[in-house]
Amino acid sequence: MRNIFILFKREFKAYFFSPVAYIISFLFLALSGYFFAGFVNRFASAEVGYAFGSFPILILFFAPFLTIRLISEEKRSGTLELMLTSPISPLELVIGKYLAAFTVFLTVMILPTLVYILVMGSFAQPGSPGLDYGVVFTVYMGLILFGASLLSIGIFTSSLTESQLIAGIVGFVVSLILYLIDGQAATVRSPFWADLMKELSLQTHYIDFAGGMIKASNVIFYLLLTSLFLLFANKSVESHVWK
Amino acid sequence: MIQIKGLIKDYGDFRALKDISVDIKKGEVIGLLGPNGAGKTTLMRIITGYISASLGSVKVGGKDILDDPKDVKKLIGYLPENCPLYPDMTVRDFLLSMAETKGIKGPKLKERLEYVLNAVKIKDREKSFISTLSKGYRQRVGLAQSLIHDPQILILDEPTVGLDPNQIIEIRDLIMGLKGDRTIILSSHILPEVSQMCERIIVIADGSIVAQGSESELITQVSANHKVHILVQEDFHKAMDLIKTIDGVQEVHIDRNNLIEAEIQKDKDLRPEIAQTLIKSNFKLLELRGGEMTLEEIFIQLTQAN
Ligand SMILES: Nc1ncnc2c1ncn2[C@@H]1O[C@H](COP(=O)(O)OP(=O)(O)O)[C@@H](O)[C@H]1O
Ligand SMILES: [Mg+2]
Repeated sequence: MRNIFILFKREFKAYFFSPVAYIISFLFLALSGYFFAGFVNRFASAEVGYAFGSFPILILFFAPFLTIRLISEEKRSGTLELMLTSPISPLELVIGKYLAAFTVFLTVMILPTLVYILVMGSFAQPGSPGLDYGVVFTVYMGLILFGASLLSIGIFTSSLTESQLIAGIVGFVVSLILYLIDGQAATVRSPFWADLMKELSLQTHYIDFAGGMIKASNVIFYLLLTSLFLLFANKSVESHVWK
Repeated sequence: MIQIKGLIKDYGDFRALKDISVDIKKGEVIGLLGPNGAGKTTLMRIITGYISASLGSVKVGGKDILDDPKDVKKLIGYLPENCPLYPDMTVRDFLLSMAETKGIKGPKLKERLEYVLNAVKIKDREKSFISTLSKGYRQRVGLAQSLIHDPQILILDEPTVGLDPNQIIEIRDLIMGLKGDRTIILSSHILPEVSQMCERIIVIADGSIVAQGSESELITQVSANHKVHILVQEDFHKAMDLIKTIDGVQEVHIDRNNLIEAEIQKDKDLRPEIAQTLIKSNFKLLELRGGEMTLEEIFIQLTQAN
């Protein structure tokens, strides 16, 4: 635990030494704000699930930028050698870094969107149903779980290569495939494969959250996916030793 | 302190280490010498647990790195090749963070930080970002990082490579100052460097140990014969013929500057006899010196023979 915290601390600080976190935050908020304002203008409704409808795809585009550097850069510069010859395990390294990325994700992408909730709250007119804070809660839960999965995919692809660019592209493509795979389900004959493709989709499992529902299966899906890619990342770092 | 037995490392089809066995005692300063590509870095990476061996065993402080990786890693301070550092951190933050990763906590953190900052003489740069430091200073930060947890063993991979001559001397003095009762292994492809710092030199070429011992032991190991250089004022070739007749002289050459080089049997010192013989025959002897093989010659001979 202590080692994880030490690595978390260093990585978290490192995010704010470089402009990446600020740029991601700015672009994400600018775009999400743009879509949010468009929605509010047209519908003047207080349905968060719809108002935040574009957020998953925006997170899909921006989250990979938070993880590409994590391990690939240490491989490139050779500092991974400093880490792996210290008394810390590859798993501690992966989890410490992941938690840092996750915290940064919460801080620079999720937290600022609470402003939109304030805006929507102020729309509530006498007589109208107003903002449903239960739905606000489930939407945020969905977005956070969704983001957590993407970050774990990102740290895994970052562990595969010395090149940030390749790590980023592979991570993004894997994420995009997992996001869109349910759309392809209709093209598959076998009902088994069609169901499987729907079940594997990052998008399918978000829909219930947007509608205000928390289903155990959805929560478990995101948590499993996250753990799986963290374990892959761990294996990938460990395998370095056996090269 | 470190026992290496039958170590073999294959990178795919390529065998980078071929059956290396060495015993390193506590407090020894070992120089790992060999040309580029000899396998020095590979050997160090295996000892530090960064990569694993294909075959054979490494015991550090009696423990196998594979069984107790964390315990073994705590014993070792390591400066990897090319001195990797985090350029975006300040010297101070970097060293504190490395100290924490090595398991140091509480008031000891600051204590060790102050100690290493002074030991490698970078106290005045502690607030600087590593990216702004010169190569020599970075090397010191790398050394500081390797010392931060007061390890019993220091492993330094080419600690002076890429530095200018003054910086080399500084780093060399630093390393010697750090010795204490530590066991130190350092690698280099420059012989004079290791021969100045190390009690025992292990010469490695093409993944095998080709010789080991102190500088003088290496010299006797390599040179079957030693040489004497003679300069006379005139009649060079006659002098040469005369020297040839002395018992124990095996071969005589003369170079363009008329310097005569006589190869003498290993265990004999014929300098007095050569001098006497020449003077008796009225040669004007200007110079006579024992020419042992230079370190470079030994190095070349050792690493190319195999
Ligand atoms: N990761 C690797 N994969 C394949 N070959 C390697 C790898 N690392 C080193 N080698 C090869 O192993 C040999 C020894 O390398 P190294 O240990 O770095 O030598 P040195 O440090 O003495 O220069 C070299 O021929 C090098 O090309
Ligand atoms: Mg090397």
